[in-house]
Amino acid sequence: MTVNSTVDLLHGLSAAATPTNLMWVAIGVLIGTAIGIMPGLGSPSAALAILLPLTLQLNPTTGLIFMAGIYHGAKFAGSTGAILLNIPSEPSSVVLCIDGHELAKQGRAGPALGLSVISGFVASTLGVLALTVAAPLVASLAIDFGPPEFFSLILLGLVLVVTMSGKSRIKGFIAMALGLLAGTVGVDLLSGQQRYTFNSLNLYNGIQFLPMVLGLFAVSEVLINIEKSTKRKVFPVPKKIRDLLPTWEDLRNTKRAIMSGSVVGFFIGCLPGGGSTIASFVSYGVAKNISKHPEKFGNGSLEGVAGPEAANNSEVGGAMIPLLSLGIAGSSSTTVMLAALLIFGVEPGPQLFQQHPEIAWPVIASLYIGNFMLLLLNLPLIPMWVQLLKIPYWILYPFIFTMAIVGAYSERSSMFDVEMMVVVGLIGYGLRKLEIPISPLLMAFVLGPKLELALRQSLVLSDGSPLIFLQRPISLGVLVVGAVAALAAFLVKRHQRGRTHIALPQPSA
Amino acid sequence: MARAADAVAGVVTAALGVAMLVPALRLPFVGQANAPGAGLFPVVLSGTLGALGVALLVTSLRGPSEIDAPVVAEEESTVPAGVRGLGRVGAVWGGFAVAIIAMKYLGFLISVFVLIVYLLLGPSHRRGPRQIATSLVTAVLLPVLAHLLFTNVLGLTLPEGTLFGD
Amino acid sequence: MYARGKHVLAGATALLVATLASGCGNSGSGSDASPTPKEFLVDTGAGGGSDIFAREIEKILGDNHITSAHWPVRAITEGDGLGLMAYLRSHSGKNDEIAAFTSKWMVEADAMKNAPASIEDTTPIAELADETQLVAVPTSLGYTTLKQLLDAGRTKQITLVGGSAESVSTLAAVALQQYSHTSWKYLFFHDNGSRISALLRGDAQVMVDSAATFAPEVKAGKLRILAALGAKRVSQFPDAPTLHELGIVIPGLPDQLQFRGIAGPPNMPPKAVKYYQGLLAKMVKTDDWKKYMESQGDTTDFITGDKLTTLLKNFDTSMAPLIAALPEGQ
Repeated sequence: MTVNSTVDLLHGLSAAATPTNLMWVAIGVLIGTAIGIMPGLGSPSAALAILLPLTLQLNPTTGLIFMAGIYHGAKFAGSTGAILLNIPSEPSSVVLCIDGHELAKQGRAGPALGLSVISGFVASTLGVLALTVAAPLVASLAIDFGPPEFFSLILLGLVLVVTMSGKSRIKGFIAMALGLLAGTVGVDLLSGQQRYTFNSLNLYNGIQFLPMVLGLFAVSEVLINIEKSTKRKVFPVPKKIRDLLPTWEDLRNTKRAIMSGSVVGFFIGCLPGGGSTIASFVSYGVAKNISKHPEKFGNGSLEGVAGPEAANNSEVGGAMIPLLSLGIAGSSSTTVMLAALLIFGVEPGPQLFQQHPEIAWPVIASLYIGNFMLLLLNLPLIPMWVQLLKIPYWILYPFIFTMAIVGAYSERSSMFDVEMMVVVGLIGYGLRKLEIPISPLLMAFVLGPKLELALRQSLVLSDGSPLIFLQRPISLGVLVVGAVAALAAFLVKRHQRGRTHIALPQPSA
Repeated sequence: MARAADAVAGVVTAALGVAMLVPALRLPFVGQANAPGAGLFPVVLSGTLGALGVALLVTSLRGPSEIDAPVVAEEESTVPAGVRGLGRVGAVWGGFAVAIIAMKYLGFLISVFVLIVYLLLGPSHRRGPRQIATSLVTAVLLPVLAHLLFTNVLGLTLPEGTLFGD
Repeated sequence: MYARGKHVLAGATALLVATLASGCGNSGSGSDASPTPKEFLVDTGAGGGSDIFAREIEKILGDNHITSAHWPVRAITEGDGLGLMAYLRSHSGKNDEIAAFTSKWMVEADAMKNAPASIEDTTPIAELADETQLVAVPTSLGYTTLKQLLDAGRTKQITLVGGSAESVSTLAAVALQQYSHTSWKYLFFHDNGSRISALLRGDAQVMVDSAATFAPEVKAGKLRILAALGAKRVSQFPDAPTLHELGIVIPGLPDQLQFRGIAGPPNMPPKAVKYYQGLLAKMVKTDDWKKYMESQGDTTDFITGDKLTTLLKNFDTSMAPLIAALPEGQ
């Protein structure tokens, strides 16, 4: 698939870019953004699911383009929530909170948001172009990544990111242990055993992401602020337009992060079973390790936003390949898209590209158009989004509570989830008062179950032998990269510590 | 002050570790094909948590060391919570919790309305006549708009309350 | 200023009352003889098996003008099937709640000690579709008959890839192992993509699932279907013989393993049950439905009343010993 693919892509673009379709993708972006801005609803899969009934009423090509618009709108809005409010809407935006919110606190919310959109757009472009040349490679990668490879990759992600413990190593580890333990709650997939469910159906599926994140981040943040005063204005809001968008210098400085993020996102994002989450962590770690200013990460580094955002956007390009060519949905958003495809009567599979390129390529093109629409519509609106920070706190925090309730409830129509969020909120407040960092807790909560599952699956395959991680070439390769990176980071830190007392990266919580 | 808090944190963490170890020990340690069973991670993690709690307690009693010395003072936590601050937090969280408990019976709209009225007139001290009016307006608009948007426009469901036939 | 505030307040309160009132009116209406479902409940999230099933039903009913009512699909995923059964139980006697059930619900209840809910907590209205399970292997392994696979298990370690210990397909695999006196390893993944790729990668040698799961890979020649675990061959894969045709008799393995239908809350008024059955009876005769069934590799099995009760009971009884034989018991 080379020259032909480029031609096909152009055909696809022209098929997708009809006035009706363009209108629907614009509507999709706007509605997706509007839904996604609500704390708790910002994940694209939630927005896609909500709008599925409307989507199914359109004709297939338009419907899929509409979904592309919703996807990008919701993703951007989710990033907005992470940056402005420190509330990640889905596991892959957790990483954004670290530097993104820090930037908002420093009065640089506009540049952070703008960079988020721009790096996303660049990454998306690269992703679509890469599709035309790398599709077979990606398709085979999606197959080649099995449990041992996943384990090594997640370990790599953790190693690259782990120096986040901030002030107290013990407390950092406590945070991770708590997060990992919280992740074990529920029915164990491999054995069917109930872990910490106390025979309750509420905990049968484990602790859900939204109650956890809304409690730990949104609710506890309100409590922390309330403790100081109920009247406080939260952040400085810049007035000059120049400060509301990223500068050319900002873009130059983040070039590396954007490029690396795009590559990482594209290849890892296509992996079924959690690729997009892992991609955002790994891209953050990679951006940090190749950055000229790694010490800024955690303190408001634009690269810390650009890298993960690039990964978050190129990954959908990568995810399309297994979806369309193998019928394999890699994430919750692609699952919804797959459902729509099926209901539309389009059967994804290896034959789709060969036999029905006129369906496959407009779908891919529509994702790109969606991102372009997002750039067009939302970049000028960023100064407006930033004004959200000006809302007096006495309105903002009831709004946060209201939205948090809706967000926590809407995922499973479960009051238990709302109750869990309230309890976790108090616990989160307590943890923050005790200086136990909540970002590592959430990361451990998100990555831990995947890590455990991959470990146990691998050992089932190898009958208990840990050598499997070294015997499988991709896994070995990833581990070597991780070892090198860890060693490099260790040496750099020793070098730094030897010179001056430099602040360790501080997460915003 | 901070060290006393750390000591308490250490004890609580250690206790939590032990508490979570007990149910974990009942799970099978080894699963099929010599691979770890359901119990391995919970046991190791809760044991580690317990050990970390003890470590925290010990370091807090022993005094700050090189490993645990705060490098940068964080605004939010090294300032110990004053009684008034804690009172506010308790009032806000308590109100939130009560509203959620009531929501099962009274539904989303009424519970959120009452909650916001309570929050604004209570802990937020918006008690002047004009403030009361704007607070009441906010208390009505927020849940109503949310309800309209989410149930009527987006087709989600929100708790209607058992008193109203949910 | 104060006066204006009062006006705004009055208006806002009126809005509140109006919304409350409209919220109450949102519940299902209609008489017992022709109820309107408030919601069509499923136990999976958007894009999951039951979700697609319910949406297709809604679509076909609407497109064919069998009913003008709109059945909004709502997910109650907490607790999977058990959670949805418990939810139905809490709406005992109502005529406006319906749910898409699968045979997995009974397995979940059997697999959990002191399960908080069971199929007795529902009123099964009708079974609609039988999703015949198929045994698939990678073509690269060279097996062309089921017997080769089962025999191979005696000399080599065979690994099955699937969704969970409680899925019906896993239990069918248990039955196959018992029949051939072999012992397979189990590799479970949350999502379908990972399962298929495990099969293609060679981490697993066999998978049991429905036709829709395997269709893309079989068409591309990467997977081969060795057998259909049911009474009849599956139309999508006419070359795959049934166990009966292969001469493999496994007592206690029902012909219907993975099936779907519609259920209501317990003590549902008989008139309402009859009403829904009438609608569904019309639906399964439409061309749209037939096309949908074909695309999924399913068979239409419209079963109601006593026949349905017996079927469910028999299924339940046959699954119990298989569940007990799972590798890491409860």
